[in-house]
Amino acid sequence: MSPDKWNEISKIFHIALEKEPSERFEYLNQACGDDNELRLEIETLLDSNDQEDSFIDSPKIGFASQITKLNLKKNEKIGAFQIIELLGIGGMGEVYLAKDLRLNRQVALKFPSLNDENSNRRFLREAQAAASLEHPNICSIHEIGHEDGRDFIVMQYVKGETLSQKLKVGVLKLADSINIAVQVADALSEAHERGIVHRDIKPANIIVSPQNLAIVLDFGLAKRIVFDSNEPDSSLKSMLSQPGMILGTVSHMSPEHVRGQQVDSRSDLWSLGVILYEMLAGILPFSGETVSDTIVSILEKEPPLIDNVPDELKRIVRKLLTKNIEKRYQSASDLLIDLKNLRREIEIRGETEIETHEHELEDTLSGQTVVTHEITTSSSSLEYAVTQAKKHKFAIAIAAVLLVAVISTVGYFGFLSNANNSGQINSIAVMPFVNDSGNPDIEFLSDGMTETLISSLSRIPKLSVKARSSVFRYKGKDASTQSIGKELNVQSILNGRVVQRGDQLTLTLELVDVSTENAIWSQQYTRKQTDLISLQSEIAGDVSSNLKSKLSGAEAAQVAKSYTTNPEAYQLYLKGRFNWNRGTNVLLKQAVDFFKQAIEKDPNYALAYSGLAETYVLFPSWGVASSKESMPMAKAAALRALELDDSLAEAHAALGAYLTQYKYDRVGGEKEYRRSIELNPNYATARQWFALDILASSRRFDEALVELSLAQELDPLSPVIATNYGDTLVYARRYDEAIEQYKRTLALDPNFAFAHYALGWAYGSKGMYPEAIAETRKAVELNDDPIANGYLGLWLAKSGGRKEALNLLDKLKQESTNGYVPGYSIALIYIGLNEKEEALNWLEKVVNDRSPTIVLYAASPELDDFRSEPRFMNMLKLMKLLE
Amino acid sequence: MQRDKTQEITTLLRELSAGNRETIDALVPHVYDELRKLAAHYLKSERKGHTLQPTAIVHEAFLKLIGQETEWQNRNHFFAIAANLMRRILVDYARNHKAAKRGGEIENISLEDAFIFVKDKPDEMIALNDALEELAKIDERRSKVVEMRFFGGLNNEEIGEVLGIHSNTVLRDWNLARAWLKTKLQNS
Repeated sequence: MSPDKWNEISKIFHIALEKEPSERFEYLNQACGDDNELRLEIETLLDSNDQEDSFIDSPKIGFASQITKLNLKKNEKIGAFQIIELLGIGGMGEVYLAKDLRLNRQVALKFPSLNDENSNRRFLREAQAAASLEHPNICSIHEIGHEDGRDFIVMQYVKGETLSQKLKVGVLKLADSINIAVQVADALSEAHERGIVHRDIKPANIIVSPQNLAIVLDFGLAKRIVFDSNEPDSSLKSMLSQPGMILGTVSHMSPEHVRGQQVDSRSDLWSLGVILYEMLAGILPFSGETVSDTIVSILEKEPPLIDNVPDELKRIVRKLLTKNIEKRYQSASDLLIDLKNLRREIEIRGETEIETHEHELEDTLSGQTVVTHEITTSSSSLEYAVTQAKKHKFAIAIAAVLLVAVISTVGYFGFLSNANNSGQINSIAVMPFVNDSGNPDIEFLSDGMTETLISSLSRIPKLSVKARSSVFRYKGKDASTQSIGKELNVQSILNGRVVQRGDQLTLTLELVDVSTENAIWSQQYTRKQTDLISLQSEIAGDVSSNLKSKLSGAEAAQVAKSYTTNPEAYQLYLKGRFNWNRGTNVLLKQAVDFFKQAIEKDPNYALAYSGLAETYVLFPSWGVASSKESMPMAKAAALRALELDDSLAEAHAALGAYLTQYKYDRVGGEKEYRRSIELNPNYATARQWFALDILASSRRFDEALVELSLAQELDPLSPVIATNYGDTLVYARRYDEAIEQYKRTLALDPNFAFAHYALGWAYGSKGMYPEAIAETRKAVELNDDPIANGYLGLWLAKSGGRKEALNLLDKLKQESTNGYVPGYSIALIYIGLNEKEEALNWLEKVVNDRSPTIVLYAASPELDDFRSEPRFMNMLKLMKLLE
Repeated sequence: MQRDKTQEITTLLRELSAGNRETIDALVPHVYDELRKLAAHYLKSERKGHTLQPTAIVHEAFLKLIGQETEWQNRNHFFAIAANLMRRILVDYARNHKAAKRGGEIENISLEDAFIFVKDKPDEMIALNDALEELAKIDERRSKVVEMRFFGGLNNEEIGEVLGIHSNTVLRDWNLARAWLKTKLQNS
């Protein structure tokens, strides 16, 4: 290997290592480019690095130690405890049986075997975590002792043999296996509810008494899932909760654990699944000659089928050993209910032997009385209810009601039935995620996550995804699934709820079939706020798979794509979007600041550049800045965005706007708009701008109307697009249709000022000045917009209100010295006053200023008197609008 | 006699940290001797279940040869040298043991418990040594970092002091080298 290559590898490796595992993929995309060899090399190194279980990390070379750290003799006293015998030496410590002389009872004493800081801390951590647990199936911690500078844990002494000892003898009986699994599930359920994950569930950590009482030992590697923010020892916290630390025995580790990813309560359920499998089958489900082989098996292989056990038990094991953590059992209590139900079935039948079991169990389950019984007793285990319901038609209706009831009340998060939905779903509305955290500061997150998901799903071919502006009309409103489905014309609705706890966000999603109002799928995700980026990709992937869309690898990658790996950058971007969507002058300016900050955090963040471009493009329309100030910046940002990612529809659209509105390059503009639409057919804005800037302005009205209809379909509740549809009718001189369209728009949103003056514009163009004036006044009242004032002046001047028109003219001129007032508003009043020269002066100014809407206004009826004027013709020529 | 030896080594170490590299040659036999004696002592007694890290031997050798009073710079240099020697001893031992076992049945080596016994499984030790040599050809410094940390038990600051680099750099070197070695060992 050349030194250069080695240096390059070293550089990329170090940067990648500092990133969260979830962010590495994206980073390597950037850093390695097309160099697959380099990438492979680095990925291999990273994989190796993440694998802690290696010779190098544990350089114990088999010297028998002469220095026994503890050599406690029988009858030796440690404080109030008298040693009876050495019970065993574990990975973390030595355990002695001792007598507590104060209470005259037997206890187990556990001493850390090493005196280094790490293991001591872990040791105490164990005690702290486990001491809070009180449960018949959890070994209880009595106290933490301290003698002769040594800490030790005093715990319950459990007589019996470990499950691993029992397993050495052979397969366990079916009933015993289920009994043990039930008890362990019960223990886990208790621990998980208290936020404690065991992380090392294995047969050696389970003691089974002669009475078949199973007790889980060693919540030794446990960590709290929910951290107490007041907890003082944050360094300890971070040390023990760091992803990438592989602790425990490989064969019982979950896929996420061996990958060095975050482990949670569901990982314990996997481990229990391995144990259950072992008890039933007598072999490990995943094994190999070496650790690496075992890991490969865990990650990639399906375990051999277990013979002669009930189908329901096979299903339970399969669900426990599901590699995708989200599709596994989501809680120990759900598992517990399934196991207990199964146990009851077996008890009812009096069948405990394996052989004859299966068919008879099946028979029992199809009996009506049993099913009814199941339904009423297993209400929190929908999984089971669904299974039963499938087996028995009588119960389907009950189960369905139950499903809905439970989802809406207690919320069950798992893979529900999609029996009612065999077909593919072609349209979806992602409703604004409800911010249930009570913290308005994360509103930008709930909104932003919604928007990111809309944008990701938009990339799925042949799926109509309703635009943000339409779905956000429902924000904070109570609308029924049916009415939303009808208004937006969608087959499915995705609802989301965000809850914040500390720096953890829990997002609950539910995909609902509009026709049946049944949940097709529901899922709960809990992540750190900093892990949102990968969460977004995950959600997009999950939702698309539940929509049954068949995606190619490239398409799936597009859907799951995240544009930055930097969580700060992502949040700043969302804040930018949040402001952008609220579209007032001040907020647009703030949006620019946020996008810029996002770029500072991640200079290669294509979406942030795109956001910047989209904001600058809007500046002239919103009167934030002139075109000459903002459009070149829009262009620069759009180009940078496209340089980083040419597939960004939004950036292409922004570039299209720049080219048509600022450069008057209609050919280039059309190309960009078309590319944008091609890249994301669900992006309504591109269709809208294309229809107006290119099609309507060059009098291709029918095409424009088609494009706007498509935009409207995507964004059915957008008043702007609806109004634009009317505008196109006005340009086409189809005034009556335009008036109808505007009235429809206003029926939906009576306070939409733009539609009021547009309606006035249609009336005025027809010569109906009083109506025009009335509507335009309403617009001005709602929003004192210069263009609305200009139109008011126009209609007033044309119908004898000259004095008021002059006042308006003064007002606008006055304002134009203070800030940015579109010249067209002033030109309008001069047109009304029939002062052609002044009007032409202002129009020229507008054209020279590249006022954003001038290409459109050029087709306006009020300019019809100017079309033969050479000065106006020159303007049209400049704008490449002269045929 | 022990007293004189300690004096001699301490003097040698002082010269070493003063920049006199030739003194290594003078120092090595003393340290090697001691390490070998200790290693042999430990390797003789067979009690599985208790394991000792090689660094423990290095530390014990240090205490025997020099004692606590040495300045920390000297101490670090001692460990750097001892780490290298420890490596040699263990690899030699592994080679001998492998030779002794040749002809016997081939064991399926399970890394399951992550405990590697030089005696039972000498291949890992030899493979590690080979990989380290290969690494040294690409990147001498990083191979030194591994040697000092793995065989000498030096921490990042101490290694940094010996190599004249910052401890953060040591950590980064270690991360990369470790990952590289793991990959090598897995493939071998």
